[in-house]
Amino acid sequence: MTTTSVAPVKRAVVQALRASPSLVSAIRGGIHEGIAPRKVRYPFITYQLVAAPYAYDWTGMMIQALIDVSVYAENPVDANNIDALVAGALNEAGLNVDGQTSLLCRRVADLPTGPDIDSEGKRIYQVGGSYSVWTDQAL
Amino acid sequence: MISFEELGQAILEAASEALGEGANIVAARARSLAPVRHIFRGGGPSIRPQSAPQSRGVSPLGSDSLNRTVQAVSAGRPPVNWRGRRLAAATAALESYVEGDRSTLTRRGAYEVRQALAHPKPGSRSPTGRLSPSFATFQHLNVGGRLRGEIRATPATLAGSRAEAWVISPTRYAKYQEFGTRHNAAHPFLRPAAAESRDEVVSRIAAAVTEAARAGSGKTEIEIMVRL
Repeated sequence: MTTTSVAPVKRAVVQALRASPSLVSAIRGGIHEGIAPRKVRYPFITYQLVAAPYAYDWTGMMIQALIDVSVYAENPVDANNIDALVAGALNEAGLNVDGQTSLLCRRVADLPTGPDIDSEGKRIYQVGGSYSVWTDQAL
Repeated sequence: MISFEELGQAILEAASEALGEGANIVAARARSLAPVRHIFRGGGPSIRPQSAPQSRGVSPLGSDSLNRTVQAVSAGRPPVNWRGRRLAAATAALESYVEGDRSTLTRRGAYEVRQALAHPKPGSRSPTGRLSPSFATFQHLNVGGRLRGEIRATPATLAGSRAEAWVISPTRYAKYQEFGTRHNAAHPFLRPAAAESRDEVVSRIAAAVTEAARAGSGKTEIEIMVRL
């Protein structure tokens, strides 16, 4: 049987974020992988795959993905509110991962990041968390 | 006959020692995953396959100083492997910088050389007279990589029934690489190293505990919790 990689996991995470109407209306700059383009409006979300080790057994393969989701906003209140919406959308969510069975999606840590100055001199607040996503697929 | 307390202490010490080894494994993996900045002009000393006449020095590789450096280190008997050739070229570029040739390094690279953060020879002095720190003994510092060179594991410490070992990246910009910023995408290296080493570390600790329990002729059930 063909096994799939971690790409469907990332896709499922973005789908789960986009399925939350309150979150979609709160982020004006959209959702980006890794880094957002320079002229994107605030607030926006970036996500980044940190690690995705595979664990094999005789019948299947489990992917234990760790994904960082960060919120960038111009004030800390917005950043924290949107981060709470992200946590609400992802924590204990049942993800629809193509070709895999979603086992868990859980926030496991907050990101220790602080305010930053962007290229236009504006103070930007970065708040986020790490999410552990475990999926299983038959071999 | 060994008492239960002594057996427990022996098991804990064995687990702690294995944990320390595990931390070294995680640190080594983190070093291999950590991003390396380019400190050389033009993207670094380009090591490329040479034809036989080139390796004999008949045809120069080029006129720029970087290629002269490559030719200098590959003249005579060139290093066989790519890594060796790259390290040799990088070392030569750094040495030429120390001798006054400023055309091979970027500003960042020059800063690292001045601060003895990327000095070619461990223990030698930078142009400012500062001693190279001990982490310069890592070879890969010769091709840049203060971030890599400073990653280290602490020895495991025992506090009651808890053993701890830390893998530390004390470089000031390490967290920006690990978590990303508005300007730079993240290049995680510590957490992937921990995730990839988890099974190896756990199996080492389990083996050490089993061995210690066997040495004490103990027949006990032991629960081990490993947090990575």
